[in-house]
Amino acid sequence: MSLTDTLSNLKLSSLVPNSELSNEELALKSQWETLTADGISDDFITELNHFLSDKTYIVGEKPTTGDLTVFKAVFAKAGQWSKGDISVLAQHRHILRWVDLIQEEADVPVDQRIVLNFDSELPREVKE
Amino acid sequence: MSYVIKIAGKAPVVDYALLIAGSLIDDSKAVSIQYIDGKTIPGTKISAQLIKGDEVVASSAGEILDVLADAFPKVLLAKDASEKWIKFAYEKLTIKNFKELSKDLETLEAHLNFRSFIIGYKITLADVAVWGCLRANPVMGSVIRNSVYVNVSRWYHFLESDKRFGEVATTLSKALNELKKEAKQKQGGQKKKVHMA
Repeated sequence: MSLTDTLSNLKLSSLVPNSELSNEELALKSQWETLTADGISDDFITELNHFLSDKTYIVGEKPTTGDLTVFKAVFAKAGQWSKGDISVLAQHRHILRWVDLIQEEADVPVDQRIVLNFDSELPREVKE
Repeated sequence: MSYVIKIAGKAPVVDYALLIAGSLIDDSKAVSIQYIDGKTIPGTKISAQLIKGDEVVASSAGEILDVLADAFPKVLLAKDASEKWIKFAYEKLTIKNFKELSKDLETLEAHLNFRSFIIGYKITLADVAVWGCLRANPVMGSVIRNSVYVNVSRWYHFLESDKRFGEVATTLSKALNELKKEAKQKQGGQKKKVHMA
């Protein structure tokens, strides 16, 4: 299966339905879905990385369709970053961490996954 | 035969990990918790004990987690891989001197750069032990709140949103209040009896 096919057939077994999300979570999820549809700019990437710095998933404690939508849009880029040097890894660390989690939960075939060196020695991030 | 975890609710380092393990097992017939309103288990110098039948089968947090993980491997995951983290948690993360503690928090922070959980992609015994020790450490509250360690805070809050972690301290203080009330009633009852006699 090609990567495009894999991504379009992506399914998460433990997907949280919209009915279980709070209004606030729904709004946030839809905001990220809209931003993703607008195109993946550098600003989008910076914002997403910052957003994911304090969140395990896009909203709530389990994956939602919001995670899938954004994941599909950034997966190829994440593959490039994962091969980058320390500064590229550090700059995208939160997206990479999240992509790795979602690719596991969405059961992306092993040969198509991004590969992270979990013990890369990244400089410690200090919150401004 | 079922287990009883005895836990001293006022120990200098409360063994929250044991209470969380109890919640994860979630079977009061298999494991029950006996709270003690004191710093140690009466008659001992230790803060926690695991009892099976009439026998003490473990008497330190590490040993107790070990025995429980052997008995409930489907809920207390990755026992072997968690061992070094349990050791790290109880030896290093219970230290209250921030300067000393910060070196080990940096280790945890680096470990969580690309990881959402300490081991693999699920809650394991390692998460339980590390989270429990950080929860019990009084210097950690503001460190977590202020995201001094960005990854540690993210990971900590994620687990905290799971009731089995997040409600552990409230459950403990409720249990201790209940014990106090009972003790008072008992005392009151006895006094009354004495008076009547």
